[in-house]
Amino acid sequence: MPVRRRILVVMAASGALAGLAGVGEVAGVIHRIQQGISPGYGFSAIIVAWVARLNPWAIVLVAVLFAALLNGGFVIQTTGVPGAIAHMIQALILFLVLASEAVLLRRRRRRALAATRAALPGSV
Amino acid sequence: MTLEGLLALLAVAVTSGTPLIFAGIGELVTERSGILNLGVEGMMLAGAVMGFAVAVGTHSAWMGVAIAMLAGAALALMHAVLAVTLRAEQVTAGLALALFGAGLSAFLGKPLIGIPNPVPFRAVSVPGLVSIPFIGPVLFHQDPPRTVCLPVARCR
Repeated sequence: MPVRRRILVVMAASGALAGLAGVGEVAGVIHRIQQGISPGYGFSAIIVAWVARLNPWAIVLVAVLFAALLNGGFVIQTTGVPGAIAHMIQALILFLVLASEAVLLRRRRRRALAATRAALPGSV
Repeated sequence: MTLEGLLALLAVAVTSGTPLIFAGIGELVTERSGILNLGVEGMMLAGAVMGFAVAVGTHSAWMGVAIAMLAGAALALMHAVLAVTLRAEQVTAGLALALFGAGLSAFLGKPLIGIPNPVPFRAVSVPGLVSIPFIGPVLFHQDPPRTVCLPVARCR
């Protein structure tokens, strides 16, 4: 496999997708060029990609749910909660999702280990 | 470019490079332990707001520095629990920490916006080194946090 060429092609394709996101925002949502088009979409996208465990189908689902979380922040601002609190709540939700995922993964591993040990003949 | 212009550029570069030095060394320490922390921005923001709030409240600049370091450490502890204790995803945990720090600082700092710092650091000269021609006044006539940044960078 031509590794070097493959790396270049993949990075170009990844950049092309990011550019597609940008032109979609400008041409389809904002309809003009202005400053602050992206309120940290790039970083949010990294979070989405990792929460989806780098699975392209899961990314679609996680992206929509994460966008709901972001927009929920705007909604609770209309009830008088400061926008900064909304950001903190979003971050805390992310923390808890990560922590619970890690805890569940460890518990599953421990159970699988216990099941394997029990199935082995002659084990204590 | 004239020599004066070059020196002025160097002075500005030292000023705006100082946060990069401290944050960079902090990230370096983390990276050497094998942990990636993308939440440096959040920790810096939390430190800035907490330090300023304490400096305004206690009229002690050094107390502000101490509390700022504690605030950054507290946020880093959140990342450590996730990344080290629970072995969660480090990239997401770090970015979530950046989001959290931004929100926390915006929330805590809102009543402080527009208040001038009552206890600004005064620039001090490092004896001897400040008389080096050209670069001496640029590098060695700074406020104390900037002065310590060079030794800290040396003894990483």
